[in-house]
Amino acid sequence: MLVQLKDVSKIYEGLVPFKALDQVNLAIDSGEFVAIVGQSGSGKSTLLNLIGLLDTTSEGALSIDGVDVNSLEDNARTTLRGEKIGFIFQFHYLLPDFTVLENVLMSSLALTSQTTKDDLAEAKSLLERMGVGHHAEKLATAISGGEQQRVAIARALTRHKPIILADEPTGNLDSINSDAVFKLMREIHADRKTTFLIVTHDERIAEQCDRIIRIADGHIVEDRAVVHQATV
Amino acid sequence: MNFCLRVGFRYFRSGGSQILLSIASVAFGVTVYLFITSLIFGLQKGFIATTIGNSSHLTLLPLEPEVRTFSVGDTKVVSSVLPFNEREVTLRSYLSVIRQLEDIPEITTICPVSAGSGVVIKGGQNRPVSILGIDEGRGSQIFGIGRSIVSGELDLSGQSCCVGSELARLLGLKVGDKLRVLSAKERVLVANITGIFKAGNINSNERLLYVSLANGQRLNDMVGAISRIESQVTDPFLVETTAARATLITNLKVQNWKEVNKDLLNGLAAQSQTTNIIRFFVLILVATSIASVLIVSVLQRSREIGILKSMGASSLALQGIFTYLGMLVGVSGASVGVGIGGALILGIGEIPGNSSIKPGYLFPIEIQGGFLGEAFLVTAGIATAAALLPARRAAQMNPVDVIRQG
Repeated sequence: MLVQLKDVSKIYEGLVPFKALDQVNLAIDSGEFVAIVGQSGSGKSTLLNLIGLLDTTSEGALSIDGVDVNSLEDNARTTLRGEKIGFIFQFHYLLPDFTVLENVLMSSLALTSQTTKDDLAEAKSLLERMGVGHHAEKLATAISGGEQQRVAIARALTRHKPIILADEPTGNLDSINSDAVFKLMREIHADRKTTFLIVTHDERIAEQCDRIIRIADGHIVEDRAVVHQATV
Repeated sequence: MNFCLRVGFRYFRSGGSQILLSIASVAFGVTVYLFITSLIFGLQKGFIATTIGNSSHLTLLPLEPEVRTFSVGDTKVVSSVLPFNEREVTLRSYLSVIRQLEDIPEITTICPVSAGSGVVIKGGQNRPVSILGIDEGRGSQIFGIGRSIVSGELDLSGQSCCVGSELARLLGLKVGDKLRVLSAKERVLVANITGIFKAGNINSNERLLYVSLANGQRLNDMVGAISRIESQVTDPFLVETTAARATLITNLKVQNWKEVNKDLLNGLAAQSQTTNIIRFFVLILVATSIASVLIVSVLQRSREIGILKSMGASSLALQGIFTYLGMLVGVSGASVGVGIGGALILGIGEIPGNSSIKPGYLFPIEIQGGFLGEAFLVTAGIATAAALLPARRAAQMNPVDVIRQG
């Protein structure tokens, strides 16, 4: 299993401790295209943060590509995250002081402190594929919101990361850009067999994924495969 | 280019007015640091030159009587014992002592002095004076009389004498006048005034009368003897070593300038400490300025920090970015400060005025290359160190928190 959670709970400490996830068990195989749906506050983003190694579990076991992440030190978690997991957020979060190309290369730079010719070729190729190759030398702030999100996807895909975690990736886009971005993710999945975990509250998007995991009050209440109607 | 330096440099370049202001504050700090350092250095150098440049560094005196106390029965007897005889309050064998001193390489100038007191009389008026009989050439080197002549020239030959400017003013003396000198030993000299000097000390200008060594010996009733030997050394600050050697060789009482000027030295030390305190607070201001700007920068860029962390940037790398940013601000500010501030201080140093320490100038500023280097390194170093706190804050940010807040 690429991602495995066993009895995972997440409790946010405070005056009144809040259990965001409660005894969650989940297994995601390599190459899956999964939607995580639920109401606001249901725990779906918490689940994504735990799988993305941005946060730590309070209870239970979590493994990524066979590695028990609970036993890792902070630096080792950071390295594992950089090597295995790409992120796409609702807001693109591009670095405004860098060009489009530099933003895409930043992932390699952050991880290894250098960029190779291969990294550069991959970044350019991904930007072309996302339809924003002609913006490569522009500052990230100089392109439209839809284009910025495509750059963010290209950034997440660099270094052939096996897992892409997308938190409301189309939540900030109009319907045309939203469909285009989703279509791109689908194409990447088909080509690279990259595992996608997409948090969304858009049922229309979720129904286009291969598997839907529904969360409510910190529990998985539904986990089903989606049967797509073949188009003639 | 290294990841931290690359991102830090980009943040520096795009920092806009925030970064410019912090550079300006560092530059201002460097300028103040340089100004204080140069001013105090110039001031102390001037003080020392005035104090020891025109005075003796080592004075050799006859041994003073020893005071001995002993008891006879119940009676305590205090006795004053001279090592040789009473005549030894003067130095009769001074020529051999001078030859001994000439063997000490650190001693550069030696001058026998016959000193005594008396009065000068001119036109019914009289003033008390200290009569100093000196060797004209060597005495001039030690006491700087030649340099301080404001009227006439230094000439002590024959019956000539030089008087201070204040004495000349009080008695209405001018070069070429004749002056009657009556010593405490009731000897008389009618001297020609060949020069009027103006030393830094008003008391010297009022009380000193220079005559030739022979005239001094005659007036002070010590023919063939002198009162003391004055000398200068190569490094006045290492005078103690030379003094110890001179004591050993001559068996005379040797007094060095530091013993005589303890208050001045204490004053200079206190001044140096005050300077260091001011410089310390200037550096604190620089550090605070850098730290506050970078803390704001870290807060403004918290989302970016979260994203970089999510992409695999380690805490150490993030700390490195903001440390580099602080270093770049520090180095830029220090460069501007050393360049523009240095030029400004040089300009201030040229402002005409009437400083007693540096005549002709308003401030006794002495700027040296070493000060520029020191100001640059210290300020740039402090700026870099000040960046560590905000850098650490950036490193400790939780990506989940900052991304969620975004």
